[in-house]
Amino acid sequence: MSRDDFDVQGFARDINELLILSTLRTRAKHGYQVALDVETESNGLFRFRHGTLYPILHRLEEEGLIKGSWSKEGGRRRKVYKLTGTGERHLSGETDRVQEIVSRLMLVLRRPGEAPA
Amino acid sequence: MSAHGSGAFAQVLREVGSGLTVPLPARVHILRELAYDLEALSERFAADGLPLDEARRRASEALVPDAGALHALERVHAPAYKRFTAHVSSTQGSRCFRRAADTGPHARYSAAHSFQVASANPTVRSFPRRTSGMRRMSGSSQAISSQRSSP
Repeated sequence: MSRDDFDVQGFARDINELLILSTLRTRAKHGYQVALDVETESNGLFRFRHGTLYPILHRLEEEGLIKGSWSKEGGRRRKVYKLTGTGERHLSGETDRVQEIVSRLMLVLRRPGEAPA
Repeated sequence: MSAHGSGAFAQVLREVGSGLTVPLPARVHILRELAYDLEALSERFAADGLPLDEARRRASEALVPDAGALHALERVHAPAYKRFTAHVSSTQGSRCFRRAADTGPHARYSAAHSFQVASANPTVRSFPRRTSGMRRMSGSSQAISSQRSSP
């Protein structure tokens, strides 16, 4: 990964996408279940509020990383998302990338300070 | 359930629908998905012991798109030609203009025309020669009817 590849602002968006892909790894879920599971699995650290979930879900669907399908439950139509093979590979590759970024960051943050003059 | 849903969230869904500028099929799908999620999440909160009003309020807070989310949805669901021309206008169009401006005796005219064609809608882009007479630096000096060949 070169220095030019890393976009600090885009990193937050990437994290949200990875959280969604990650929570869909176990089984197909509908939108609100995705949001609840991300919040629960991260102990409340990551929360989707004010509908920010939907643009991400729909973008991931358009990119073919997840697949949405409609079903009926109790007479109500609901949309369920599942991870695709492409999404699984993307998640795996991006998880490695995030790991590398966090490792480098920690190296910088934990670098021993110089002794005061 | 209609796309605007029924019951407690009908008003919210109407407001979201009116603020959402996307093609109709996409709008129906977005509202239908939101309607189900709102009802299901509020039922879940209520089952966890919250009063129904509070359950609905919290579901709305979590799921109803704010202005930023609506704008992001519009970007995702914009028609393909709109996204394409937006991209061309911001990148290719200006490059095209600069390239054309560097060439030939009619550089000024062709540069302007190239830029206009590059950033115009797909119909114009497909027939650049057909529309060239209508797109002069000085404005539309010729009427469309004068472009048509007589029978």
